Amino acid sequence: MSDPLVLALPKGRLAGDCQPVLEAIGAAPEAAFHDKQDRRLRFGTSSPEIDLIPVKPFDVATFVGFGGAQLGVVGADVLAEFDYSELYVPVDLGFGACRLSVAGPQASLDAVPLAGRSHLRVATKYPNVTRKHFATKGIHAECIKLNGAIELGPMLGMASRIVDLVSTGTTLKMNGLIEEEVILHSTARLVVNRSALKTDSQRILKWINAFRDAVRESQSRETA
Amino acid sequence: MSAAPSLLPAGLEDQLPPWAETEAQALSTILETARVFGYDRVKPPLLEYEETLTAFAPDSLRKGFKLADPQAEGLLVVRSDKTGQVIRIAQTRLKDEPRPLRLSYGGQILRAKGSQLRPERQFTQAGVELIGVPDGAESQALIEIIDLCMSALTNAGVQDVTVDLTLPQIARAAAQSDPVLIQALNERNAALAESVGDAARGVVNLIDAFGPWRGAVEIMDQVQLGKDVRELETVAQAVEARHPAVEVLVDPAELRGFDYHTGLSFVLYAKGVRGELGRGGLYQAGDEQATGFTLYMDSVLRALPAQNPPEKITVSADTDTKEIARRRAAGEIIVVDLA
Repeated sequence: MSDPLVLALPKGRLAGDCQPVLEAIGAAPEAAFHDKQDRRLRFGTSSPEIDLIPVKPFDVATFVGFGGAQLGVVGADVLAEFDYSELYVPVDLGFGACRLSVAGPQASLDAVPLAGRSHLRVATKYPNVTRKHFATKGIHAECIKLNGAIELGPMLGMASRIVDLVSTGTTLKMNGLIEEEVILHSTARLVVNRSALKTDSQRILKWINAFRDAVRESQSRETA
Repeated sequence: MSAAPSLLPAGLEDQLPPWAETEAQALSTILETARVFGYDRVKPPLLEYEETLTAFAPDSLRKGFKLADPQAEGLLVVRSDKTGQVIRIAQTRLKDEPRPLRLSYGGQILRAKGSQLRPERQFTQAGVELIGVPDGAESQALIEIIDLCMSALTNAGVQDVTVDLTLPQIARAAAQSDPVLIQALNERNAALAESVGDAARGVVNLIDAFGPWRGAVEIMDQVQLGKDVRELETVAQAVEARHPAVEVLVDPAELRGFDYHTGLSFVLYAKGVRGELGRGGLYQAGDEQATGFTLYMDSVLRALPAQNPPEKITVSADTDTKEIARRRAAGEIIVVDLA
C-alpha cells in the first residue's frame, strides 16, 4: 500500500464550499479537521488514500507546485498570480465565483485617469497579475504588496488604485471604492502536480475523475 | 563583497562527497552505455560566438550567459544546452561523415536564469544525438534512443522510471498558435479550451487522451489521428518489451519545451523526483532528420538511492607496498597512515 496522497485545501473563503465535494468523492475530513482547538497540520479522511493539509490559499499553489502536495484546491486568481509550470488544472470546480478587479475611490479615478499614463501606483495582493495587466496598456504598475485590508491603500493615500478580489462588491461599496475594470473571472480549480500525475498516474487519474463526476453531479442537481 | 566567505551566487553549488563521486560515476555509466550502442563522444567548448550558436540552437541566446570578447569583437554565449553544439558539429566539421551519425556528450552547462521550481543554474547534461535518420526509419531510431536511455538509467541504478510519450507536432497543430489554447494545453485545462468554442475540439481530445499507452491509443484512434498513432503504438510496444519495469504513458497534450521537435518525443520522470529526468524526440537538424535525448544529471542524482560513504581501510606506513598495490588493484580503498 503506497503512501496517501496529500490534498492541499485553502483556508478561508473557499473552505466551506470544499466540504460537499470532499464528501461526494468519498474523502470526508476526520472530525478533528473542524475542531478549531486542534493544532495538527495534517488530517485524515474517510479514504485511506487521501490526507488533507489546510493552508493559506496562496500556499496551495506552492505546495502543489513543489510536489509537497499532489493535489490541491485553489482559485484561478491565485493560479494567475503564480503561473507555475509544474501545475496542471484539470477540473473547474465551479464554486467560489468572483472576479479580480481594478478599483479606486472616485476622486482618485478622476485625478489619475488611466488614459495617457505611463506609471501607476497600485496596492494589491497580486503584484504579478497587476503588472501584467497594466503592461498590456503600456502602463508600468508599481505595486505595493499588502496581505489584507487592501482597500486601505487608496483610502490612506498610498496608491490611487487597488487590484483585489470582488465577489458581491459590498466591501468596495462600504469603503467608497468604484470597480473600474475586471481583470479576470475566477472559480475554484482542482490542481495536480505534474510529476506526481506522471509517476502515479492511475491513482491520481482516479481522483481527478472522482472530482469531475462530483462537479458534474452537483451541477446537474442545480439545473434540475 | 559578501559577508560569508562560503556564499555562492544563486543556483550554483559545491558538490561534496559522496555526491560528486556518485554523479561522476553515473555520468560515466551513461556514456559507457552509449558507447556500446555505437555512439562516439564529442566535446564542444564552453563558449561560442552568439551568431554561430544561435544559427543551430535559437533558444540558446535567451537562456545563456553573454560575455563581450575583448579579443574577437563580438558577443560570446556560454552554452546553456549542448544539443545545439552537437548539431553544429554534425553539420559542419562532420558533414562528410557517413550517416546516420551517432554522437554522445556529457558536460557542464550554465543558464542565465534559474526558475522558481528549478533554481539550479549550472548542471551536468548528458545525452546522445542520432543524426541523418533515413526516411521510414523514424520509429526505429526513436526506439533505439529510448532503449539506450532506459538502459543507461537502469545501469546507473535509477528505478521506477516513467516514459511519457508525446506528439508535439500534433499538439502544436491543434493549438493553432492561439494563446488561450496553448495555455489550455499547458494546464491540461479542458474547460478553458472549451471556452474558445468549436475550434478547441482537437485540444480537448488531446487533453482527455492522457494515460497508460493502450488506453490513450484507443482514445486517439476514435478521433482518427492516424499514422502518428500507429508510430506511437510501435514505439510504446517496443519500449515495453525491452524494459518491462518501465511505465509507458502517452500525453499528447505536452507542448512545453518541445519548440523544435517535429515528431514523436518523450519526457522521463522518476517516482518521488521533482521535475523531469530528461527528454528527447525527433527533430530536424538542418535538412537532416535527427533524434536524441538529454538527461539532467542533478535530477538523475535525486533519483538514485542514498549513498553510503565508501569503506576505507587504513594501513600503517611500513606495510609492504606491493601488498598495498595488489589490494588497490582488487578495488579496495587503502589509505596509508601518515603518522
